[in-house]
Amino acid sequence: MSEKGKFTPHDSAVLHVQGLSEFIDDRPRLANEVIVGLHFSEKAHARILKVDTREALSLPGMIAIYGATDFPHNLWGTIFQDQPLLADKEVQFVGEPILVLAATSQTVLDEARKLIRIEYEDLPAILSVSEARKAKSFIGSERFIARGNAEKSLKVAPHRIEGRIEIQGAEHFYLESQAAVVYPQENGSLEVHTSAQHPTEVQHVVSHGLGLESKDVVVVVKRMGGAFGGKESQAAPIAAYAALVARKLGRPARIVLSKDDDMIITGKRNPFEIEYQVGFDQSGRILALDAALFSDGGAYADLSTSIMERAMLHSDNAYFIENFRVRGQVCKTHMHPHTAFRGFGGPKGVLMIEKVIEEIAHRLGRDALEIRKLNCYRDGFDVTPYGQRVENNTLPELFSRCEASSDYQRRRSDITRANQRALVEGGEVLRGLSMTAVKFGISFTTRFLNQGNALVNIYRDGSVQVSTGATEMGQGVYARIARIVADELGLPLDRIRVMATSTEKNANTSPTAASSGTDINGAAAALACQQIKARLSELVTKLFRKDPSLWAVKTAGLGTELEIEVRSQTQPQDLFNVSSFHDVVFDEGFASLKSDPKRRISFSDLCNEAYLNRISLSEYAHYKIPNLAFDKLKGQVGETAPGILGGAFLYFTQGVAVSEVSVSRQSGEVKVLRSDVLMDLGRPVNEALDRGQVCGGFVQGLGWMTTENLFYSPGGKLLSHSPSTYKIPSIHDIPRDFRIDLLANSGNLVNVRGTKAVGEPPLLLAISVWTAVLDALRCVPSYTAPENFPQIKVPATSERVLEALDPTRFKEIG
Amino acid sequence: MPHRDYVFFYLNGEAIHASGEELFLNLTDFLRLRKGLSGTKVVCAEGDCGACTVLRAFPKPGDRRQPSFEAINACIVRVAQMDASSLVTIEGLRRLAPVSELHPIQEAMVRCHGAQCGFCTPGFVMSLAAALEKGPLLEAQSVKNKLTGNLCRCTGYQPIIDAALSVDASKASRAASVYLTSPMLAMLRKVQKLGVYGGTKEVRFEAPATQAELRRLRKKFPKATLLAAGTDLGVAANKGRFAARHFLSLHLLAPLYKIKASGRALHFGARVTLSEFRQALEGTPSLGEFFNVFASPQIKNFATVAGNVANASPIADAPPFLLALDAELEIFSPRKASLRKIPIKDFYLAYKETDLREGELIWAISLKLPTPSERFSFAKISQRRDLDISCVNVGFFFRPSAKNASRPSALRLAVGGVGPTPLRLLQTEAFLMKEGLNARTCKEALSRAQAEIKPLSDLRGSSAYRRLVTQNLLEKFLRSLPQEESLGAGQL
Repeated sequence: MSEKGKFTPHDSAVLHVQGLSEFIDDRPRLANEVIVGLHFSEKAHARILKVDTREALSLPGMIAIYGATDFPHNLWGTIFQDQPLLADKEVQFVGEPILVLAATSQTVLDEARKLIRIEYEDLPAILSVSEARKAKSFIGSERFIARGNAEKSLKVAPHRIEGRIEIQGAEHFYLESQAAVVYPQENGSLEVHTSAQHPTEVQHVVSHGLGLESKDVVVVVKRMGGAFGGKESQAAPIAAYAALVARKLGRPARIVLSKDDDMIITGKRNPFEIEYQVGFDQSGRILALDAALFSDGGAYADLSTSIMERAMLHSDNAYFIENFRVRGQVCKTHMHPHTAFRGFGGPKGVLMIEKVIEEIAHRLGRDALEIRKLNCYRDGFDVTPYGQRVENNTLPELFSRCEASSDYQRRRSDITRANQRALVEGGEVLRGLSMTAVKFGISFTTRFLNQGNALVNIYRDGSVQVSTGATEMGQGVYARIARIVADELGLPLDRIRVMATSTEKNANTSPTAASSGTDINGAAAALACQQIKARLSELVTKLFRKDPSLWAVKTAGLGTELEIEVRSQTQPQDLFNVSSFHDVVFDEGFASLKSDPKRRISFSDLCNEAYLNRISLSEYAHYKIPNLAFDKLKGQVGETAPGILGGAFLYFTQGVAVSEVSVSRQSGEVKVLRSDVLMDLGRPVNEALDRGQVCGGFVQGLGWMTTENLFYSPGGKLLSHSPSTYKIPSIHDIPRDFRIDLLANSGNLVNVRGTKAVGEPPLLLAISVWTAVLDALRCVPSYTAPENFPQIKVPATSERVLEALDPTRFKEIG
Repeated sequence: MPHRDYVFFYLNGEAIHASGEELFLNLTDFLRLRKGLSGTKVVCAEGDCGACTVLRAFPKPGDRRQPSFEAINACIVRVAQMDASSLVTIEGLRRLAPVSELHPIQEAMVRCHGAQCGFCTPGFVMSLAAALEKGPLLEAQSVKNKLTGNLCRCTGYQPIIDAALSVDASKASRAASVYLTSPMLAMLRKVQKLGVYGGTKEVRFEAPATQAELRRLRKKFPKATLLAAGTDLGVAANKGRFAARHFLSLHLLAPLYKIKASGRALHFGARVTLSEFRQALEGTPSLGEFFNVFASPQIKNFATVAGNVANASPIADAPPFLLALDAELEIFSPRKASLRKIPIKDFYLAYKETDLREGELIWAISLKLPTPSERFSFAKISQRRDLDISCVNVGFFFRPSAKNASRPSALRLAVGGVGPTPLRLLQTEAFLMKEGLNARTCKEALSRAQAEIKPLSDLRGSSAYRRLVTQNLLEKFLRSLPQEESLGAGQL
């Protein structure tokens, strides 16, 4: 693989820095355009007795107000169709949309909302996982993954710990709030421009909700101002509200949620409560783990059952556990329906096992890194509890390299000494150090989502348009696909344009999610290029046998020459390397013969010859991830063909991070002093973009681990619904010393170009910040006894840290 | 009296006369919807994320110095408040860049991969543009301080810091050379001499240019909403919590911009911004630090100290600071010829209630900076250290008596976030004044302080947390003071 393009900027970078990139609300307003807003529930659970909109409708500038009955089909849902687009008789969470308002301006809308009167009759609300468990209020059935006999080996294990963790949710805080503009078209069809990760889902929800067919709705996504999972499912109903207005009024309709409304209405990362028992021997080897995972799904199913699956599939993380049983149950509450967020369920499973390891270390009086290395997946101990072998396993190498490069052992002894001194002398800060790992399974756990398609159009001048189902949210998937196409066709990047994602060009696509955007869509684009390239290669060989004066460019208009025909049928190619057909090489804008590099033709001339010889320059390709088989009911990998076991995942993206924190004994404030991240990202097509994902993902996770505190009223209303109260990391909060490095690994043969997916995995490495806080807390007198371990929720806010430093004192003063 | 019914400003060099309902448009709506300048983004509409950052130069009335371009939040100001300034948006940077090239900041952001989704990017570019107007950024910490008011959710900030540190700003023109030329500056100074009497039938906007005009207007309309900078009102209006029918803006009154420093005495007018106040404190290092965690550059460049005081929020950051320094407020009354003076400790009466009587306003604030023998400490505890509303903030001041260093001749313990108003712990102070400082009295003081505070629990912290933090901060301060005998370690 060439080094070129390794550090090419994001394809929109030059636009972004000038403010020229067009986001949804930057689309110019049309003269007759209508502004759309929502009126939502103030109650967590209530019957709607009466809706009075008369006063609101009488406001000058108010055009219309619509309710549930205005949608021919009012239910939607990605997995289960259980969620009303608009609540009708009953509301199930604070923020649940009840009415859609249409007005001439946002100001009128805001006024109108204040004039709407809704009478409710309160119903009992379930607002936490524990309440839901008591009430047996669940979504879907309990799932499990098991190997060996966890129960029995727990009984005989030399050491046993029982514990629990509460993990709060987190807000995506994409900067561009949910938004859509819908233009009514001829014959009742609609053109939808939306900020969504899953245009096909938007198309489906809009058409179904309005009683249309998919063919009647075109959904276009040019780019999103951030998404992080929050626009995977939950962008769809927002577009449907604007679509309803556009269809009813026959006027363009725009909806742009305010940040406050967006945060109140849309779901978050699922909160989790986890109970576990772990058995281990004196050396720290984990003999058995038995864990029960409960998540808060919110009021409707959304993606929560899939999120739970991923949490369970990541409860082993980087560690081999012989006897293993994990159960998972989604709870139904009266909170906003929680949804995908970078990492999906993965971080919750990983957080549990990483905490368990810190606890084992504390019990045995050892450094947690020793316990991690002891239990790490390695030769002979490399089969996961669900039966998939960890191939191309770089975890042991990642651990040992990062231990050395971060100077872990020296810093460990420095910190131990400094903490002892601080305790004796009343010093203000304590420090903590921890290394955690990630082994993130790449593929959707739902097999049918692991498919994608691409349309490649090459024009007579040799310039190329590529369209796929991948959506751009800042991660640079367009730039990566452009790179793959450029390499395949041997063209400079500026000859490739990746087009806005549209359901018109790519049908039945999967969400850009699960870190799979480049894997699936890049592979499909490469396949499409290969088919064109095979034809062009055959054409090249035939052209070179002919006198150039007789080529079509000179003769086609006269019809004096025989037309060249190509017959190339491509065989499925290895996607790991750039393809080659008929001894022809495409490079630097030319096609030449491998055997005779002097014989060459420019790509643009070649394309023109192809056109004139009536050879197609366009191709559409479909790609599916091979070898996937996971039986969700058995919790084990299944067969892809009789006798051949598949995997839950195509491969794993792996990495480690060491974080050092300080905690203030005065205020509980946590500072991240240094983080060293080392990841195996295979062979990146664009290393700069990959590093960008690592840096951004880690910092996003760091916010969840420390300052991002979702705060609800006793009635279930989110009170921290804007950045003045919900604190994502600021520029001061990133690690004071932040080192990111990649491990060279050319062994990921199964994925396109040998790359590895990068979107989500680095977020999980920020768990090292939280475990480092535990590590710092371990040294205070409250936890001197090996059986006392600091209990602290995620996020470790200043208040929680201060409380954990001395729970008794905290209790007394309150 | 000669006056005008419009406001006048430059927008990317274009002269704008705005009047009627346009005066009350949010500046971002004006830019995006009326002028088609969609590079300025809106995310939070509360001045917390910086996506709306623009540059503004405002020649202060009565001040002949050339103003600099500063970053402000466009989302929380109305068009009327831009009167007599020159604005530059992200679209205006083009004219500062070398021909057919990106501006050096933009070039660095591209080269260092400082943009991912791109939504926050224009705001970051503008904040950096403001910073680089004052000279290159040489250290990561100064970059961070300049970007406190900009949130990014994609990049993890490191690439933006790298970009900022690698900018070669010498290739760009200074904003003033294009957007505040001599004729433009002269024009702005000229319009400042005329008061504004504008608005619509429903909403009035008035800005007197002289003290006499202010007196007349204030007498006539004592209930009109005062605008110093209005950063808090802007948020309240955006969130539907506030709608005024009548604004009285102080922006044309020259005396309100004056800062007088003589010796340790500092006297400053009600339109002095937090940034200017900070500059005035520059010589006293520990005081300057207080501003690093106080709001964002964009807010500090626009909001006033007096506004922070008059707002009377129990968790405002200036009051504990000013309470500890025993600042004095000068109050303008439309009915009296002279200014009324009161110590700030008597200013706060109850939750959001102050000693200001009908028609009155804060005219100026005066204080004395600590001497080297005096101890002053300010601390702010919040969920996130930077750009966050305080959970608890404290300002502590101690002056030793001449004869006995462990006996205070002055002691002021001010705390915010632990009651309905910012407050002084008067009983604790009196106790220590009387008993002096030693292990026993300090311990006793800690428990007396607990009796004087009544914190609530809310989303910024529980009552227990506020109590414990107040105790820890007070204990730390007392331990730093000279004592008859040591408090001993391990108490913390």
